[in-house]
Amino acid sequence: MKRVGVFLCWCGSNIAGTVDVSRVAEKVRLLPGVVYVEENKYTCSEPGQASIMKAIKEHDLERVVVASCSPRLHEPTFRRTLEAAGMNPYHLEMANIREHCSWVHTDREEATAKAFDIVRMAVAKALRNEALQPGRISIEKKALVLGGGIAGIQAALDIADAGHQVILVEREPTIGGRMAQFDKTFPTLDCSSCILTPKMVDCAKHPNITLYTYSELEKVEGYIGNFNVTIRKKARGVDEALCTGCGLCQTKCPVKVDSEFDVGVGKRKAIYTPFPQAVPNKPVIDKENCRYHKTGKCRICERVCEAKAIRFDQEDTIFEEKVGAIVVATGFDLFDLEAYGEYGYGLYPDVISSLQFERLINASGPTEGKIRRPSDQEVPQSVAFVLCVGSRDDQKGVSYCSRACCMYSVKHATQYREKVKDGRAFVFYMDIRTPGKAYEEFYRRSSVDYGVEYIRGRPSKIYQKGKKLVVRAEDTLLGRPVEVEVDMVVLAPAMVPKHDAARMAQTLGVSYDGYGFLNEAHPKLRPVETNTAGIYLAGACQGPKDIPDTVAQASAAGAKVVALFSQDELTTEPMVARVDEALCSGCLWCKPVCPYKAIEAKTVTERVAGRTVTREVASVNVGLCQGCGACTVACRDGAMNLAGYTNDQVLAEVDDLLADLRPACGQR
Amino acid sequence: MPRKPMLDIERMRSAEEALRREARRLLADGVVSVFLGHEEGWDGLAVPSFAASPEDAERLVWNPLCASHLAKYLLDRLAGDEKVGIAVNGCGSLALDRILKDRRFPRERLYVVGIPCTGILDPARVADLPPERRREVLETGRAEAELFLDRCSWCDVPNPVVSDILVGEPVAEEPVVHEYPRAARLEAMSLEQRFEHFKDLYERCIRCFACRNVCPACSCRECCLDQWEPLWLGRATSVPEQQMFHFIRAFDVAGRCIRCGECERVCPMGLPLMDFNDKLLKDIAELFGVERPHVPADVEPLGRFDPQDPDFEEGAE
Repeated sequence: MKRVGVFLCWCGSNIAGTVDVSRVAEKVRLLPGVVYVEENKYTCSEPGQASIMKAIKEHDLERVVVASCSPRLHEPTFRRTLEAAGMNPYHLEMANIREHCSWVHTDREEATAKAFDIVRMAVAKALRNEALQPGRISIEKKALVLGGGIAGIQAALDIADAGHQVILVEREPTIGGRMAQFDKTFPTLDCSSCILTPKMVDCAKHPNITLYTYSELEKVEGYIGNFNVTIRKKARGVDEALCTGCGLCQTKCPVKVDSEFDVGVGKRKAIYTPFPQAVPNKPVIDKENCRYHKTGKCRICERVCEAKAIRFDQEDTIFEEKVGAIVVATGFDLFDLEAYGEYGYGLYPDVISSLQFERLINASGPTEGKIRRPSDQEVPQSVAFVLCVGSRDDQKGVSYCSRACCMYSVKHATQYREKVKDGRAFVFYMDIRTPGKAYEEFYRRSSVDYGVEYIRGRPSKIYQKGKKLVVRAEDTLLGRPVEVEVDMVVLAPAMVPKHDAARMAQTLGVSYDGYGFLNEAHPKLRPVETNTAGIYLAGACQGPKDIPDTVAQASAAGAKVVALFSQDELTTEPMVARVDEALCSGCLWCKPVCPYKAIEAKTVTERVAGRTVTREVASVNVGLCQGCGACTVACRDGAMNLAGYTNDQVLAEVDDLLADLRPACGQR
Repeated sequence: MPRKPMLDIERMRSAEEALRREARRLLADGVVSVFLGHEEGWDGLAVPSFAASPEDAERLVWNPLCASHLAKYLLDRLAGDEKVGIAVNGCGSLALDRILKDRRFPRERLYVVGIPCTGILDPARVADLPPERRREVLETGRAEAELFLDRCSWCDVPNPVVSDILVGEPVAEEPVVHEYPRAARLEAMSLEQRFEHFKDLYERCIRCFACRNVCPACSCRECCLDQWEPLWLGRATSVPEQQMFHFIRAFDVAGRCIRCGECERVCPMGLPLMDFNDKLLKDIAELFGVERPHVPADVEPLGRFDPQDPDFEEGAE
């Protein structure tokens, strides 16, 4: 029998306050295999770890059980301790007597008994623990960044600056994303495109960055360090190599449609670049609206193009790339404001969204920065800004706070007051949330210096009265109803996941929450990693964010990729599924239950009764396997085993726990 | 809506004739090396038959007592590459399909003779009849509903779902609304009653493993109940071990049970084994919205990873 050492932690009073650790120690001493038992106030502390190392040497320990907190917390710590003492780190077994015991119980007697049961199970398992060795896989030092908004741009630049190749894929004809649509950024009011466009140009010019705009991710295969991605480059209708970006085609194109970039408050042509500073500054043909594509006649752009770059018959190209890491920076959509029928969005022309307002105040926007209301192009003498349209509304919208709307609406009101000196700005809010550097000061200034009027209350109705709009609400601070007549209303929609976020997540094999935002691996400690190794998150695809937070997260994701690429080989977690081919009957039920697509069929050849037969069995790709254990449960043959949690080990735990319950002859 | 099973002796006789003819042809032409069917055994019972020559084929029968399913005998023929012929009726084809969907026998090595079926009697129930009544039932086909196999009462697969050739005209299929009276009975019990009910089952079980041996969904290369390392099932007869055995048996076939009830039919102790299976079938029907959980599917509800699964909560740690 292996020699087991058991280290019982008090965790200050966290464990010792509820569990009589000394009594547990007394009983543990009598368990088969246990040759050494020690109590520590804090086993994870330096002295605690040192005493484990000392005991390993002095008592020739072969297995170590640490009874303390959740293995999520300190399993890596103690594995390192074992390794430092010259043991295989997987000879460690953690018994969780804190989260699973002392923290959730109050009765000292019962908690002590339970703690003993937890420890005895760990000892039974530890006796059967095997030495495990990590595997090694190579790393393709090239990153894929999905999405060319500020998050994708920042991540791409950071990775490229560290000397690694980056492929930046953007669905739209240009990079820039949402930030390119904005006028100024809070709280410093610097011009959004003035700080963004240099980064866009850097991206295009960077020797390490390959830009694919108007392109989409089709398929992802492989695993960390070795992803095979398939990208579809949509037909632009324009030969990018020949096009000089002179813009003549756009001027001459006879078709005018609503501009997506201007969110419907401006127009664009059927051949267009979304905005003047687009990168690359090459137009695309919008096939749905192009007169030639619709009627077979026109071709004006082709005629005026001096570079002869128009290609009506261009087709999508599909190609594969091998990358070692993926940064997802696919951004967000805005909540559909028409869900609030009582606010009249889509019904009254002067009820607009914040993003539309952003285009109206933008000097490069459709009104050249003059605030004019859509219905009659008059300058509105009063504007109401309504916050939380969709956000924090369990009934009609989403439960969460969209985080950026307070600040940009404060900014909008301030900008409006700056441009229309005698105009009145009302902000209808539930709470003004300003947790950011210089945010609160900015908010205070809007009210003290700019006279923005804040009314605490969510409007119940907005209706038209002549040329005016009436906003009806309850002022919850004064406790009485208010009605405010304004010329224009700006609604701040909730930030919601991209409409196809779920499909994107499935393509990537990463998880998403109930709303459709991609899930980080840990909300506090692993905020940019996903649960799929090698795939990282940046920006609002993970949850609503403002620009500073987005850029910070993008750089963090970039740092993670660079850290990954700083190694030549990757060690893989050895706790992966293994197939006992002798037992496997090849039903392959494990294949569809694997969330990581790590299982494939494999043909084996055997000698049976004097003849050679071939049959199919399951085979695990250890690079993809995350050790979740779903296959081991699905496997009726018991052929699938999770290293570190084998059937044998888990059964030993259960048997040990039940040992007192069964008659003596039933014991194994 | 329970279905009314019936016996059509004329139809069975002509199917038997056609079955022999087909088996004879397959064996004579060397299409198959062996043909699995039934033959008459002791006391008029139908027992499995393994016809290896055209002459053997003469012994094949198809009568109201052909209750046993033959698909599981295919596992004995895994080695080699000869083709095997097999006779299946509707429910027998579910058993065969189970083996095929579990990828335990290659379809290419099979020649399936399908027999449309209107009902089969439970041999044990027939054996209990007085001799005259028994003869009358088998000759005229006039049998009370209680004499039929339990599975005939809800059968919605009178025609084989897998076959290469049919002997006899297909039977008209009627939609069946599936009910799970056994599960409902369990659900109506209090926790204590249910525990006593199962404890009684565990205590009477002699662990002969007949239920496992007959089950078409139990087709592992090496049954975990026979394994020593790890020792899933202790050899001692104690309630916890019996409990473990029955849990393993039920849960290993969960999502794959074809509701044939053979486990219960062959149990020498007459244990209500289908209580487990009925409850699992009902749960799958209700929780996953599957109308016919007993019919093998390409991807079973319990055999796939689906992020839309209501129980799936990613990132919950």
